[in-house]
Amino acid sequence: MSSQTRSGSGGGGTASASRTCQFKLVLLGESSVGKSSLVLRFVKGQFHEFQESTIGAAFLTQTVQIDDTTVKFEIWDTAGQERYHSLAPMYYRGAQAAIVVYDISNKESFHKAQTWVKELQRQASPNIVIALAGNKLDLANKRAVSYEEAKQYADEHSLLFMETSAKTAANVMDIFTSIAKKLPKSDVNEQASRQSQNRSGVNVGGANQNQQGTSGCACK
Amino acid sequence: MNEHLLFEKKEIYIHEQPKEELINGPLIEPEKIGGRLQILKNKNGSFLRFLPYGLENVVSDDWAFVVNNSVLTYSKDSNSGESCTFENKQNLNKYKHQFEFNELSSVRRIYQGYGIPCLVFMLTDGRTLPNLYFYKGGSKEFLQELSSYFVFKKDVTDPRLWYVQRQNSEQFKQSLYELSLFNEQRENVMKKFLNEPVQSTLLGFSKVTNILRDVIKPSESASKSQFYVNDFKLDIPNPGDDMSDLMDSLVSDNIHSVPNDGYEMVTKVDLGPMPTVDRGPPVQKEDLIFDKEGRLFNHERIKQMIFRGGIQNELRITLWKFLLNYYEWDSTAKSREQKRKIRVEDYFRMKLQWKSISDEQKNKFSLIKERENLIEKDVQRTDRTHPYFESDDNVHLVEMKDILMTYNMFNFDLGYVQGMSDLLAPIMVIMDNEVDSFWCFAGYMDKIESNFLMDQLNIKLQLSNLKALLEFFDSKFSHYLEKNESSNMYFCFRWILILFKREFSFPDINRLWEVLWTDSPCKNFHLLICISILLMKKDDIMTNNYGFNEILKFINDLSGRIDLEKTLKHAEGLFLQLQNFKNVPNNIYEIIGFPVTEKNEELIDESRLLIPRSSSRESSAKLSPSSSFKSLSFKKDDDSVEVLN
Repeated sequence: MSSQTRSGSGGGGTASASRTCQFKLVLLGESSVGKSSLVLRFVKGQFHEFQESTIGAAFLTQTVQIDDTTVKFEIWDTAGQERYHSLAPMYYRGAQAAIVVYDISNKESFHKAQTWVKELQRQASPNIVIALAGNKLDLANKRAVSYEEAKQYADEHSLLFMETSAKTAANVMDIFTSIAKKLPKSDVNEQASRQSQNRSGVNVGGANQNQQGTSGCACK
Repeated sequence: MNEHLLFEKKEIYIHEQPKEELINGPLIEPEKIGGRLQILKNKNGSFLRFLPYGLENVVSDDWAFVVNNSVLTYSKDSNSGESCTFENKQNLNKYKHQFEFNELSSVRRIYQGYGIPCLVFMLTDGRTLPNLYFYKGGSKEFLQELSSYFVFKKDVTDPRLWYVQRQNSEQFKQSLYELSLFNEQRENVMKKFLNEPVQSTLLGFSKVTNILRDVIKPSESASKSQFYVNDFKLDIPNPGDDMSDLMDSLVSDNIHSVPNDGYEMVTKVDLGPMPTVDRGPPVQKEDLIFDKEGRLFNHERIKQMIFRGGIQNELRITLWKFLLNYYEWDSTAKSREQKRKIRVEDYFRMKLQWKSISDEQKNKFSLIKERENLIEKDVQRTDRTHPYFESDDNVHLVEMKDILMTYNMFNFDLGYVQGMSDLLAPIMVIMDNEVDSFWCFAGYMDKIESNFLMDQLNIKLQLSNLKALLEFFDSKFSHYLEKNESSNMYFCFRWILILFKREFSFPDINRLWEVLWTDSPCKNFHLLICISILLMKKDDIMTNNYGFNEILKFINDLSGRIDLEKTLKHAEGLFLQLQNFKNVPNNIYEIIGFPVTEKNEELIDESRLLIPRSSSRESSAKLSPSSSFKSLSFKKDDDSVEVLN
């Protein structure tokens, strides 16, 4: 036990030297590539071999500590099937970050990931931080998408890129942490004093939906 | 670890209901996970933790990442990169819960089941911790201990609920807050007052006199608002009219007050009292009467009984076939035999159609290949915790794939859409036969196929109908959702798409679906079920001030926590209220399928107020599918909505 990272949503009652930033993050990608599993690993440290498909969407929160800043992710996990594609904008609207997921053992899912990236770059917030996750790294023996190919694509489109495995937890924490590091944590003294008053159960997240079509975080 | 234990209470239990119960019968005893409930402090502040027995000495191996409600333990293994070491602790770890004090939104103390007190913690982000049972008592003491860290305020509508009142440094806001005149975000108070003087003021007044519930009905047109007080309709020409008149009219004999735990509860009755509904026993073999040709002689009565109490599990295999149009209700034994023969032939013919596609052909048939992939993936992850689908290389998984692929051939324009496997699984468990499962599934899909269409229009229509119903039954809550960007009701998407499949256990979903398949007592009864759940949970949402994100999370997390029988009774009560009330807007009638022609309006006026009392049953029978209620009796009761737990 060398170090312990303590995290929390900050705000309200407790006196804390660190500040808290809040970001909306959305997961997109083809059906069954492991979006929910990535979130479940990140948020609860669990993995279910037979994670049921997501109907509609799920919302989870998780915090990571980056230096003296606590970054709170508000994570929207979406249904992957094409049939429900039309609902996606509701979730990526106002998102400051997105993880586009594909399955490294499924070439088609990589193509689908590229169309998601395109859509995000065209329609989501202009400064959205996009990460590409090649999931199911544990199935490397069935690999259909090479690391180099995906990496090259990611570089060309200025995406963060990692191969991950929700099953073994490889790189899961890292991809979220990398995103947290890349997100702009603007100076927030004024905002902080104003917004910290709000925390008495008032919905900060919901309010952000409207306000944050652009960049920047809801820092407290 | 730099944590200081401030307070601890042992012998606290979490109940884990067995997720899948195969039979309807007495409730299976829940698994109890014992542990200690602790108040701790570290450098960042205080937090509360439920620590299951067995995890006391687990120290994080390399570095621990303490998160909102769980602990992730990772170890850095120099050989294989990052790997997790929690596998062996995983079972217990999932019962470990903790949250920081500043995340607490409210706590409720209830007596569950056998009178064991338990605490339910709700957090600001929409999460609800599992019920924490105090088997050895002490819940009150624990709350008292907690109250030294929080300013708790007892909720006025639910005396078992305390919500956390946060300190607010700005004097103006603080004073408003302490007066507790306004429940919503304080910044909006003045803005709201300017925009909606009538509503805001009334809301404020209502707090002064403690509660004045459901005062404001939605304005039906822009120019005037309508207020219903009992059966009197007040037309208020314009918001901003003489306030004292309005208050006088509201504070009148039409409002009755009941003492409620130290608060005076003032309830405006506009829909009449919620009728108490009795549910019946499930249909049993002895209830079925066949004539000499094997016709189900009393099928109308059987349908009523199914609506009232469902079907005994062993009999589902027979009656579901009628409910799902596998057989006609008035079919003879002989015609059923013939029908089944055709069903079997048809099924295998269609199955052969896709089974006989060669690999080469499939490579040039991308659509079918794509659907097959999707089906295979979903089959692998549909209800795999249910014993029927549990083991790998399970023949039922193969059957599920075959049925869905064959349905794809049967209804190629629709194809396979996620959610269908959810609808199929319970049918397979009951039928335990590939062909019968297929045709029952196909019959079910006939009923709700439009849920799965590409344009999603039918889902949107249902969500908008749901909103209209909510507006009618509880305009205040409806207004709350509007303010919180949730007026599209999208958080109910999953409920509607797969008819609550993910919200209930198998026995409960069997019961709910067979009730819905009777098409009683009205069209879109499933929307009244949605309303029912929402009304029973609205206090949780409003008291905790949940916004868009939190509402969706809260609703998703209700899965497995909804009392089905209570919900069915309440939903039917809502139906009866609609039936009894005479000023129901036409759009509401249309949603539930009541006729709205002028001729019928007369009938409605004469009969609705008294239904379902005996004298008016006949006239109600002419009106609507409620004719099926002829033989049923109802008790009227002055019951208010109770919060489910």
